[in-house]
Formats: sequence, structure tokens, C-alpha cells
Amino acid sequence: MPGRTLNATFVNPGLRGERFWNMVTNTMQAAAIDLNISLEVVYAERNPYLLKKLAIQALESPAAPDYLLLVNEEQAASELLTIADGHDTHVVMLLNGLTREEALTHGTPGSLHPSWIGSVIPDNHTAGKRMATQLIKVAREGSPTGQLHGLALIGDTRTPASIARNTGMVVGFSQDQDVQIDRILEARWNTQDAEHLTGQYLKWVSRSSGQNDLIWAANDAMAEGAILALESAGLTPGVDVLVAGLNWSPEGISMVKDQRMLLTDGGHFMAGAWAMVMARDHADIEEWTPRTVNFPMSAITHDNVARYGPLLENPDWEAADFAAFGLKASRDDYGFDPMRVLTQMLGHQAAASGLPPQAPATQKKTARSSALMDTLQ
Amino acid sequence: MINDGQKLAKAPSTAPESDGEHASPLRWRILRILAPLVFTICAISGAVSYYLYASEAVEHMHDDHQEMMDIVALSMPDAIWNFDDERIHAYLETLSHHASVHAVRYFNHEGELVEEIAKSGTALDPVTHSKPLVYQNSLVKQAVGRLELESTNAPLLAARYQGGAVLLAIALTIILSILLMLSWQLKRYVMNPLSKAVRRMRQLEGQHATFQRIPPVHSREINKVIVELNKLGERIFNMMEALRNNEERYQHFYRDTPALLLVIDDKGTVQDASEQMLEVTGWAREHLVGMPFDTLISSHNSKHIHRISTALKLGNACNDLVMTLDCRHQEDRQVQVVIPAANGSQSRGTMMLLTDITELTRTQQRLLEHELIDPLTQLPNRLSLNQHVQQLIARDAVFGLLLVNIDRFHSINHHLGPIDGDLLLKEVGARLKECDPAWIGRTGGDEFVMTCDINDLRPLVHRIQIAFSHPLLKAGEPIHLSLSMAGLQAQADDESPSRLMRLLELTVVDIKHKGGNQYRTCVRDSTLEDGEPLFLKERMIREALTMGWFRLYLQPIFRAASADLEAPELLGAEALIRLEHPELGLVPPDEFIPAAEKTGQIVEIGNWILEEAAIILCEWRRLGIEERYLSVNASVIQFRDQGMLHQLESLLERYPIRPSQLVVEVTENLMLDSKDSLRYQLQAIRRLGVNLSLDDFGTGFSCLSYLHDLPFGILKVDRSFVINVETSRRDRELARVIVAMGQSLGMQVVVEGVEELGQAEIFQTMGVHAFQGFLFGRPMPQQAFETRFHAHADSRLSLLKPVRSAPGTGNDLD
Repeated sequence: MPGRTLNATFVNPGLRGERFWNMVTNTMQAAAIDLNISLEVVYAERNPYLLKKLAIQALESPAAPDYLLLVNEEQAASELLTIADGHDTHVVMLLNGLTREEALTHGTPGSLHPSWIGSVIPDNHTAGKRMATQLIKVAREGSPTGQLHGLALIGDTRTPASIARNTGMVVGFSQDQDVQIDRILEARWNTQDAEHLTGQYLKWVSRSSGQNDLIWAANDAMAEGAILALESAGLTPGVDVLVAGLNWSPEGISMVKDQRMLLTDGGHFMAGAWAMVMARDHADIEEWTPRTVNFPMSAITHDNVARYGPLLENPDWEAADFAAFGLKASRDDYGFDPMRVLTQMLGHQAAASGLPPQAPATQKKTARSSALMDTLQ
Repeated sequence: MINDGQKLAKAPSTAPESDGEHASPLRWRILRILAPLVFTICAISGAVSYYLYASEAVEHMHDDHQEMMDIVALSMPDAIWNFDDERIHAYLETLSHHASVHAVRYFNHEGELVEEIAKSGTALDPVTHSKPLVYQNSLVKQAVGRLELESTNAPLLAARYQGGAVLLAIALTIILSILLMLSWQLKRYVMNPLSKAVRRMRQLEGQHATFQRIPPVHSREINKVIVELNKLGERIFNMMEALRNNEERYQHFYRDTPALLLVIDDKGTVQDASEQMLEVTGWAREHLVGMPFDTLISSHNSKHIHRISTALKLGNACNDLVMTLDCRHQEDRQVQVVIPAANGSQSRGTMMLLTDITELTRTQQRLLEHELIDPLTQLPNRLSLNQHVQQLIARDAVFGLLLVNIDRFHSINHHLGPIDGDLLLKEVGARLKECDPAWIGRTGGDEFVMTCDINDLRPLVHRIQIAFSHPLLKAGEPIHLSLSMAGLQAQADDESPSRLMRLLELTVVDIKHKGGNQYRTCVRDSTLEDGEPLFLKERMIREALTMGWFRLYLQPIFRAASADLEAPELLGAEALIRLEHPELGLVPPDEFIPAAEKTGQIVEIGNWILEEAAIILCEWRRLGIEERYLSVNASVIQFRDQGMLHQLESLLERYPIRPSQLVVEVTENLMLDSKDSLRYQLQAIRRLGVNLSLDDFGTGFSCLSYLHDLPFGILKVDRSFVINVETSRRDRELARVIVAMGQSLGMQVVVEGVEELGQAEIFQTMGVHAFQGFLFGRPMPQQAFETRFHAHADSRLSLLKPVRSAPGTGNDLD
């Protein structure tokens, strides 16, 4: 059991009850319990100003937490680093790091801001590219040659995670010269916009080329909207049009399971848990090196949905042992990987039920993605 | 003149109006030039700026369209990209809302027309702008279509028309304002001061005490004009004043002149009249002015009126027209009309001078009657005879002419006295008339002339002789008269009555020489016809009296007892009459005095001499000379009917002279007349204080008893005693006796005709009182006399009072 109890405050940029941020909070809580951290979660309700306000409140409260966990959602967090420098609280950034422009003024963890001890960033670029590659691959199975037409539904163009995901998408699709992405539409992460835009797109498609093969969606909610639109247009998702999503959301898993969606990439919600690990290690390790940790994401496809799907449809993160991901004397770098968590959980289930756990297969690949991510940034 | 004055006054006001018939007000003239000029400038500049504005507006419109398209092209691709048809439509709608946009078209990336919003009608000057629509975000850049916009100039044109109208209105307003401003400025700074100045100048028309100067204004140029106007105004004012003064003076002259004066224009209308005229005619001036002049003239003068009218029209002079002036309140007057020549300006009128000759005409009438009738006998006189004979001659009549003269009538008249003498003459006339001549007249005192048929001459003479064989009874005592008669048969070639009369007179004189009482027919012998006919002299004398040809010459008389005969003391002078005929020169007295005595004109001459002498004495008295006496000659005839006495009485009454300074000289012929009346008269004269002198003593009827009886104070020794006094002892003795006699009678003896100093010395020793003669001084004009003898008088005067003027200019003394 780790040492003394740490106090941490997570300023959740999302709404209370929002699917993704629930997943982040849940895994984070589970890790906090594992690492003897007392976690308080406050919600900024998608308001950058409220986010700033809540963070400052936390920093300046008499019972200031030891660690403040920030998401650079809508680039609202950068100036909080300067404020935090005047307090004893340490900052860990997760999910969204600083943009390239912000990095020029704020540097990397520990370089300019002593309070900033580290960042935990998922490899969204690779995830986006993987989704595109997978869509092309499956589509080419049906029509090896000829023009392929596709639609990309992106969430926004400002959040660093979104940007990484979008650029990955563009890189992925550019691998095949005959793939024509007719539209990259901004559906603002929600199902309704995605459904509406897709519907419009489909009408346009029917007026012009009449061909639509792929839909890339930056999250599962938008993928669901696209699927609904396709179905409204009398098309069969997964047959007429291939749809890829991201989030590992139960809805996504469900749609992958029933073949409507080709895959859902994800695992990035575990960044909160990894941040907890980093806080524990910072508190425990004498000579802490501030750092940025990029961790890989993985896809749940038709192939592995049966294996991992149930874990994600009704998750029990208590079952995972996040403390196991902490730095050991032998390792000077983290091996954060969502798949490893799933595997660990499967192992726990197997131990409970007697089945051997499956080894994670993407260890090397994750390292490559991290390198790619670095070059992009 | 008044009317002229008014015309003069009106002239300046009417002249500009007539001159300015074609002139228009200055303001209009300036505006007439300025208005089109300003309008043209405004029109040109307006058109240019409007053209620039319009083309700029079109450019602007297209720029706007381009800009609109650019703006739409920024956001519209996003809508297209996101298939937001509503937004696309909204964009297109927004674009098409622009008035200058006729149509908007949106083509998709394949060039197909997706949507078009076009307005009805056709576009004006359409220009199509095209803009490719490109979607771009951080991930993608893609052409999504093309936007086309078709512009129309229609709203611009409408706006342009509207703008043009506004511009035009503004331009017109500006032009109007400028013109109004200019007009106002002109009026305020030029016209008003000028018209004020002109109004001030009007004061020249009225009668003002002074010329009110025109006050200066703020414009320098106008002030220059005003200064000149002021100068001009003052000059004119002064001239007008002088003119008015002149006019007043002349008006006064002609209105108050005691003459009858009319001012008439060339049409004969009366313009003005003198007060005298108004008084005589009885018309008021206001009625008379404007009347034709002929209403004043009696209608029977129509011929004269016509002559005057013609003269007025032509500007000719008109003289000596005698007409009758109609008078309202008194008897009509005879007037003589004179119109001077008009010097070529007859339209301005001329003067008509009327001389009232009513009295003159009457007098003339009376005189004429008087002249032709002898008042005593009521028979035609000499003048009448002349006329009568003239008429006979003119008719080429052959007639008998008979002159009857009463023998010794002079003595008879003396004997009878003038009254009985006159009665006698009357009776003679009546008796001669009874002898039945064709015509009878009395041509002189005792002279009658008759005409008769040529054959009746002898019988008439016979009848007369028979008639006068009986005594005449009317004169107090029966008197037998003998008559000298001369007759002649007048012939057709007898040129003049005077010649005939001269023949008769000469014959009668001859008969008288032969004793008278005889009839003789005239012998036409030219040798007899010497000397001038009497009536010519009579005429000359009359003319001399009327024309003032007579002069008094003064011959000095000196005191004989003077110690130095070279410079004797002046006692007085004798006034001697002279006739200065303008053609004949100086006529000596013996050429006209006898004639004057014959015609009786001597009385008039004598009276004239007395008047002149009185004037000279008055002047002497005025000069302070009171010792000097003046001696005048008188004719016997003047003493008739106490004439001399009456004359002297009247003279002394009228002139402030001392009677003692006046001496009346008479000749011894005086003694021929009736003694009693003469004595009485002479004594009365002496009582007046006038001294009497007996002239030419020793040459005539020197009756010593007269000397004793009559009150002569002075005795003048005739020059015939003086001439030989040095050489003839007899003459010297005679002279001594005369002087002694005079002295013994207490008379002052004056010696006349002293020409030699020796003569004077002889008489001086005789103790005479005074000398007169060429030795001492010839008769000289009064002026010369005064000049010569004043120095003497002055030197005497200088003891009494200071000399106030230079010697020799005594006339100037008070």
C-alpha cells in the first residue's frame, strides 16, 4: 500500500453525467483508491471560465490539494500554471497537453513552471490514423480498385486531442490516393449534429456523385448519429457504408458488436488513472523528473469485441490494479496501456473463473505511435 | 418768366426720363449678364461633377458588389460545406436585397446552377461579378462552387435622377441667392445711395435757403460720385439762385415798370404782364396769363393783329402799330405797339410794349385843329393855307391867289391896344370873307390869303376895295384901313405853295415900300426870290426848340473900375442864344431871331432863355456865387400881354434865385409899343427885383423921355459908339454925352463891343461901370465860361470855406 494519503482535485471540464467524462472520473477514482489518494472532482460544465475559476478556488483554498489535475480543454489551462507556481500544489495535465503555441511560452513540465510536474497524453493521432487505415482496409476488401468516397465527422478543431485525432485521420486517408474525403464536417461531439450533417451529406451525395463508402467519426456519439442518418436514408451501416468511432463507450461497443460500426478506438479515458499514478510517484520518488507521458490507444473491432466488449459495457474499474503501473526502481518510464488494464481485468476475471489471461499485443506499436506523436507536435 | 422758371425746374426731372426710354435698371442689366454666366458656370461645373459623381457611383457600386461578394465568399462556403441550404438561401437573399443587385446565382463546384434569385424586369447596364467559393479550414481547402452577381444600374439611375434634381435645385438656389445677394448689394451700396443723391439733387428744383450736401456713404466709388454731385449741386444751386435773383429782378423790372408790357409767346399767348397793364386793362394776372393777346385788342384792328401774329411767328420786329386796347373798367386806350425782333428764339416768347398814346393823340388832334384854324378869326391859318394850296396844285388846278396885308397895322394896333386890335382883325377877316373868295385864311398878324377862280381874281380885288371903302366899326372907333394886295395866277407848273407865298410876300413888301394901299399882280421874277422862306426857318426853330438845339453862350462882363485891365474883376455875363444845328452847324442869331419874331416863336425862345438863365443862376448859387449877374435878351414881343412879367413871376416862384442876379435886356424898339402897359409891366418887373437893361442904346428910337420914365437900371452903349472912339473926336464926345446922361439918370453904363485896350481906357476915364467885348472875352459855352471863371470865384470862396476839389472842376462842388 502506498505511503501517506494525498489530496487531489480534478477540475472536470465536462458536464456531470457526460459519458466520456464519467469514464475518466470512474477510472480516476478507482486509481485513487488503489494509490491512497483522496480525490475531489469538480465540474466546469464545458465552461473554460468556470474551469479557471474552480482551479483558482482550489489553489487558493486553505485546504489546498497536493495535486491539481487539469485538462487543457479549449486551451483554458495554460495560464493556471503560472498561478499554481505561487502555491504548494502541483499540477498534472491530462488528456490534452499544451498546443504548439502555448508550449512556446510555457515550455514543458518542470522547465518553466516548477508546479507543473507532468502530463499524461493519449496518442490520439495514431488513433485517428488507425481508424482511417482500418476503414480503407475493410472497404478495399469489398472494392479493391476505384474511387472511394468518404465523410469525416470531427468534434472540433481547437482541442489538442481533437487536433491530433483529425490530423491522424487526414494522414490515414491520404495513404490511398483513390480515397476521396468529400467532407470533413464539424459535428461538435454530439449525436444530433452528426445525424443532421450526415443526413445533409447523404442528400448532397445522392445529388452529385451518388457514392459514399466511409464515415470517420471522432467519437462514438457522432458515429451513432451517422449510423442513425444512414439508416434514415435507407442505407445499412456496416454494409453500404463503413463507420468508425472512438471512445470505447458502451454504445460504441454495442454498435461494433452488432456490426453497424466497424470499430471504436479508445482507452484514452484512462489518462485520469495514469495521472493518479504520476501524482503518487511524484510524492513517493525523491528525485522526480517532470515529464510528459504519451500512452497508446487501441481499437475494439469486430475481432476483439467479443473478448473485451463485456468489460467495457459494464465496467468495474475496481477490479483493475492501477498501482501496478507505478514507477519501479528498475523502470524509469511508464508503461501505461489501456489494453494492459483490460488484460489485467480479464486476468482477474480468469483468476476468478480459471481462464488464462491474454497477453497484450500492442506494446511495440504504442511506442512507435508515441514517436509519431512527438514529430506531429 | 414764371412759366419759364417752372420749365427750367422741371427740365432736369423730365430730361432723364426721355433720355432713358431705352435704358433698363442697372440691376437688371448686371443680372441679365450675370444670371446666364453664373448659370452656365454652374451648369458646366454641375455637369462635370455630376458626371464624375455618376461614374464614381457606378464604380462604387461595383466595388460594393465586389466587397459584398468577398464577404459572402468568406462565410458562404462554410454553409455550402455543411449543406446548410437555409444559410445559403439567406446569403443569396441578403445579397439580392441590394437594390443594385439584379440577380444572384449560386453554382456548385461542378458548375451547375443550384439557386438563383432574380428580380423581375431586365437589368440596366448589367455587369456580372463572379466569385469562386472555396471552403477552407485547418484540414482542407476545397472549391465548393461559384457565386455570380448581376448588377443593375436602375436604382443608381433613379438615385442619379434624384441627385441631379437635388443638385439642380441647390444650383438654382445658389444662383438665385447669388443674384439676390448681388442685387441686394447693388441696391444697397449703389442704387440706394445714387437715388438718395438724386433725390437730394431734386432740392435744386425747389426754393431752399442753402444747398443741403449729400451725406457720404461707405462705398468709396459712390462717394467720389457724391463729391462731384455735391460740387455740381452747389454750382447749380448758386447758378439757380443767381438766376432766380435775376428773374426776380427782371420780373420786378417788367412787372413794376410804369409801361404797358406783355410777355407773349410765338403763338401770341400772354405769359405775363406788367402791373400797369393789369391796372389799365382791369384783368387779374391769373386771368390774363394764357389768353391770346388779341382778346385785349379791339376787334377792328384785325389787320394789325394779323401783322403782329406774323411778326411773332417769324420773330420779326414790329413797330409803330397804333391799336385800341380793350379796357374792362375804363375807356379804351389808344396804344402804340412795339415788338422787338426775337433774335431767332421766338419760341421762348417776346415782349410787347404798348405805349398809351391816348392823351397824345388827343393833344395832337387838338393841336392839329389849332394849327389849322386861327383862333382869333376862326379862319384857316398859314398851315391850312399850305395844305389847301398843295391840294390845288396836286389837282393841277389853275387858280387865283390873293394876299391882303393891312397897312400900318402895327401902329393901329398900338393905337387901339391888343384887344381892340384883335377885334379889328376879326372884323377884317369877316369883311374879307363877305367878299366871297373861294377860300380865305389868316396867315399872319395882319395878313390874309384868299384863293379864287382864276377869272375871279380881279373882281374879288374890286369887291375888297369896295368893302374896305367903308370904315370898320368894331374896334371902338371907326377906322379906315388901307390894304396892300398882291395877286397871282397860280399855274400848273408852280411847284410849291411856299414859292407862291414868297412871291406874294415880296410883292407886298414892295407895295409897302411904295406907300401901300395898292393892288398889284405878282411879277414872276426870280431875282426877287432871295433869302429863305420864313416857314423853313419857322420849322427849323420849332425843331430846335423840340430837339434842344439851342445853347446859351456866356460873354463875360467886367468891372470897368478894375485897377488892372489885363485882369479885371468879373461882374457877370450876358447870355447869348446860339442855334447848334446838327447839319448846318452854329446858326447865328440874326438868322433866326427876326424870323422867330415874325412867327411869334420868339416868345418860346425867350422863355427858354429865361429858364436856362434861371438854371445857371441856381447853379452859381449852389456854387456859392451870389454877386455875379446874368443878363438875358428879351424881344419886344415877349412883353405883349404882360407876358414878360408873368414869365418872370413864374420863374422866380419856381427857382430859388436872387432876382437881383437876373438882368433883362431890351432894345429901344420896345418903346414903339404902348407906353402905359409897358411902363406898368417894367415897373412891376423892377418891383420883383429883376434889373432891366436898355440894350443897343443910341441905334434906334432913342427917346430920352423913355429913359427918364422907364425904370432901367443899366444902359448899354452900342458898339457903334465904341468902334471909332479912339479916332473920331465926334464919336468920343457923343459917347461922353451918352455916358454922362446915363450916369446922371443913375444908371450903370456898360460898354459893349470893346475890342481895343485904348477903347477901354477912354471909357474908363469916363467912369463907365463895366466893359463887355472881345478884348475881355468872347461869348463862350457855359462849360468853358465856368472853367475859365471858377478859379476866380474859388479864390474868393476859399476865404469862406475850404476848397474841396481841384481848381477847374467846380462842377463837382456841392
